[in-house]
Amino acid sequence: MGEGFAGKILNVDLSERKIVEEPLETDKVEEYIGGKGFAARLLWEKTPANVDPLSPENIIIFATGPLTATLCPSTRMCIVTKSPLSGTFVDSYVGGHFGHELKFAGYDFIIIRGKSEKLVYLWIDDENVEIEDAGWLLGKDTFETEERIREKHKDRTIRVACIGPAGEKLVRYALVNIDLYRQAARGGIGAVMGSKNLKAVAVRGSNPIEVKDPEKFEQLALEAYEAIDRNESLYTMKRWGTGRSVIFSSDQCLYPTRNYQAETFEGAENLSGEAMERKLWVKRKACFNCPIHCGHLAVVKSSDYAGTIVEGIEYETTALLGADCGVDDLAAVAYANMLCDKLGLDTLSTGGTIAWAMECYERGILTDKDTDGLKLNFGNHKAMNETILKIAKREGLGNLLAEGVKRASEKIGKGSDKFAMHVKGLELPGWGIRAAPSMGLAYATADRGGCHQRAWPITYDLGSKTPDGRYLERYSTEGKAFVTKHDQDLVAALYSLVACDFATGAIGTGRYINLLNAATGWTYNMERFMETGERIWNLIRAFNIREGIRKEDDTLPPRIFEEPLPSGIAKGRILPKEDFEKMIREYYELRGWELETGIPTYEKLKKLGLEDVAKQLSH
Amino acid sequence: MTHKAVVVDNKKCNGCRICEIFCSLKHEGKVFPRASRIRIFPYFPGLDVTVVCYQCEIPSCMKSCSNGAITRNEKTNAILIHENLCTGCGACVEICPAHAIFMHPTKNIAIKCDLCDGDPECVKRCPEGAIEYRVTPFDARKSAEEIVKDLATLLLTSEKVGGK
Repeated sequence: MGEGFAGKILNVDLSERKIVEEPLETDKVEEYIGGKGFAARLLWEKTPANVDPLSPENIIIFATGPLTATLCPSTRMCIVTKSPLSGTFVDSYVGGHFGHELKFAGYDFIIIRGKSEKLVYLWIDDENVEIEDAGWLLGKDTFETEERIREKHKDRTIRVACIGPAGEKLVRYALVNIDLYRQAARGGIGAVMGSKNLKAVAVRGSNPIEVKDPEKFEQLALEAYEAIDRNESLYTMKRWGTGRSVIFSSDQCLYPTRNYQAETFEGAENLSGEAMERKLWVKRKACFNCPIHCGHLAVVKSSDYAGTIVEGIEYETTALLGADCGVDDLAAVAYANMLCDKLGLDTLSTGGTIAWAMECYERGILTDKDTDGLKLNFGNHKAMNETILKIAKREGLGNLLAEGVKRASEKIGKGSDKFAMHVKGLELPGWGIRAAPSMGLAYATADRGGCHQRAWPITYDLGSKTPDGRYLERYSTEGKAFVTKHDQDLVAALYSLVACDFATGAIGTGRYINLLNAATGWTYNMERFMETGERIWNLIRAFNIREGIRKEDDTLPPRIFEEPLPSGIAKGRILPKEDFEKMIREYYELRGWELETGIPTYEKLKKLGLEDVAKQLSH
Repeated sequence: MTHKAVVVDNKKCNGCRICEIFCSLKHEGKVFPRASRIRIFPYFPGLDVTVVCYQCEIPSCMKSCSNGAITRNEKTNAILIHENLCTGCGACVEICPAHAIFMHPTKNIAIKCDLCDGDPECVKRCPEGAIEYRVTPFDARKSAEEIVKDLATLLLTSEKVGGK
């Protein structure tokens, strides 16, 4: 191929047991860059409206980008489908080595549809692709599944993306696990694989990836390595991983505590990267071609949880399975992290759901009868870990919690929806809103539901200079819509490359664009890159509108609007509903979406080159 | 007699495979990990072992080659496979005690570390400084499985195995 791409799409129909290769038409990819953007286009075109996410008609797309598996450091892949948790588009990102191996096997995208009669796995050995029996892997956890597949094919270097028992049981926030400790975690893509009776995709690839202008590309990639090496912020990332943010977050009233009742946690120091460095870490871990090595291998050497080995604990997991459940026992959180990885559960949604159940238990909405005698109080880490096992098996209370907080609270009622901390069904991540109002807008408008990775405007709340050279007031709504929209468009484009969050700051958008052009021969500049991000964002909005999302879904849990923070530097703060509504209005105006409905206007879509989408949407 | 070879501290290897990438770039002109002369193998539960030729004192690969394609370079002591003489029979791949000789994925030849003529690319590129080019005694080495076992004992041992 020689232009950044491997050059082929692999189509797999599990109902028909049919495997068809097609050439990747790079001129069609160009308008969407690749990764997130092109996968969004595929999902729009290849699924019927209102498709049931867990039906054979839904598709799951493994998507790489034009920079994945090139000399450009720190690239990833994403998995895209319609989420069984949020009912929206979902794109879940993962590093490790799988996406790179997929491209080396000759495929930029895999599109999987249908449902196999029996449990199977897909075995991609360059151009030899087989649907193999996986009955012998039924119920196996993700670690064992990966190991067994490698043993079966007698090659340790095979890369495996698999689901655990939770995915088989269609837990709505089941994940896809890669390289033991890397997860495409959010939005329940593991349940979609489970619904297709697809236990794993295993891949071995032996081709090179070539680029259009190798000399220029090499020079730019070497600059990117240098930029990462010299970046001061990445020093703390290398040393403490994402755990570097724990104490800062709690100090700034951003650390969800006891189901978001508070946002500053008295036990934060016990969960910090510094504590992990002292107590848990034995070495660092890296993804393919990444010089950052942000991962850390943790070993619990003593206590009831001795013998726990897991990569982490990432900041988000400390927040949701730690502070949000009132747990400050680091070993207990490491164990919970390992359980979730093995069983195939998203640590964020799992923690958020258990935190909600703990609050229900403390308020008497759930009783000992519901919990089978488990004392599900905040801080009870033994009960938390028991509950994780129940969720993966859908056993007892676990069956309710496996649905996520939105559905679970709708089912048991009694006002529990007031403190069900989600947006569109996706449990909130580990960054509070009441002390960073722009994050409220970012969560409410994120394409896959409550997610912090589509825009990170918190940085402007806390004093960073905006893209248009201004400084914003932390608790004011002024200017927040602009930065949220700007970051969403930028990230949509970067996620189409597919770039990693942790490298983007060091490498910089300008250099990424140069890398993209040198890889593909395209002629992107900043303006076109941002416009493409906006096109992708609007296409996904159109998809979500098609699937029933409207303005009323672009909202936040009542707790954020109504319950003042009880402690910390932002004590007494809420996000006033009228402030939120003002931001949403401004945001829709900037986006060119209808103020009453949140639907992109025909003109806006047309202007972005999406007239065909606009036409279908207005039907 | 001593000689210099590529020596890896596997405790420091985090599995990024930047060594594979730059090795293949140097020898093949492309990002082509399966044509790299140095390889990283992942082991449960999260350890990485780098496999690269030790440049043995008495190389069994050299003896196994019926075509005389394997010789030692006098300047660097590197054991080299001569592409034009290699028939791709795979005898050296089979016999190497370190499993450090590989079949090229597209050309019908065996490939191994040639020490980059005394200036190994992997050593320069490893972001962790886990790879050195230094004097090492000619002696028997451990297999990847034995290295993993040692690493696990060193790094992963806890008071009791379990945690349920």
